[in-house]
Amino acid sequence: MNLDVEAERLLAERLKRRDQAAFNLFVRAYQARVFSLVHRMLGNRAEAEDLAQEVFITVFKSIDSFRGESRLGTWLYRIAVNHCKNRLKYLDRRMVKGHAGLDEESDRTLAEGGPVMSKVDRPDDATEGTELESVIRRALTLIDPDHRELIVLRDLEGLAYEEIIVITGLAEGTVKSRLHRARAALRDAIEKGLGCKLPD
Amino acid sequence: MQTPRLNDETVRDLFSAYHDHELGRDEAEAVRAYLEANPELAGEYRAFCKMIDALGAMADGARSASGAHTAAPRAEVDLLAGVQSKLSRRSRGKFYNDRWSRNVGIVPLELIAVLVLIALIAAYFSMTSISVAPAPQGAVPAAR
Repeated sequence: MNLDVEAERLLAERLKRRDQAAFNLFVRAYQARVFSLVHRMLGNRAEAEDLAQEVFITVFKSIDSFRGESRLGTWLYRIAVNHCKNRLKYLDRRMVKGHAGLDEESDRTLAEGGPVMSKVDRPDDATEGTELESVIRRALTLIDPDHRELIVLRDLEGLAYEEIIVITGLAEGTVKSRLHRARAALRDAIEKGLGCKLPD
Repeated sequence: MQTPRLNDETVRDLFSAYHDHELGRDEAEAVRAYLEANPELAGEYRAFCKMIDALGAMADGARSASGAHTAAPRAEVDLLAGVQSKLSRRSRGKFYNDRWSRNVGIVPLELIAVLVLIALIAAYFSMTSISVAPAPQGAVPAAR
């Protein structure tokens, strides 16, 4: 469900009054987007569900600090991204990062490293796209979280540069240059996984 | 803006901005011309685009050819019950303390209250409108 600007403004007012019905509506409206973002950042469904819940709890607790300078959804994304960064650092410290923290799907991709490469190499293979996606999903978990953040926001969530600037708090030039480095890093990680250059 | 002299490396650095239409007109034209003249690098650019397209295909809002986003189903997830439970616990019952303030489905509580009120009013009127038939004349009270 996508709320328009006016609906978001009214909802924010109700949230500030700690209107529980409004909060129920808010969670229902945004839970899929938040979960999607968090899941892509963390690569683990259980962690993502827990963290997405924490995102909404933070909103409930800190809605008074929302001044309406950005859209409610953008503000929510910013909270989600910050939570993700903190959780990734925490998981990193606990040494459950990477392979051990991946979903079964990603693990399966890892186990299938060889066959994936051979399938992607066949240009007319109908499964080519799907296999490339598997390799990309795996590669995404391997790149720097700051890079992953921008790829998730821009290429997976499809956000505009303006929104990414608000969410990340980065300058426009930094977003552009970092996104370029992120995509290059992803390309390198994919090619490393494939053991060859990306097929054109 | 004067377009700097391009080589494979500088063009490679511009792949991302070129793909996102973030280059100025002259610079974009220079990159396009350079790629046309260098088929090997053009292949590399196509592979780069393919990677971004695959990311787009993975996304829930898959990008159509026109640049618009179409809504696609997202992963099934219901966070509300968990959020309510955590909030209730952490606020020591201040929020979501009773089950009625929790997930009550798509029917709002106000509607439920109105329906109950209507039902009560209807019940009241149906009880008061029942006519009590007078006792037949000559009837003898049983207690006598």
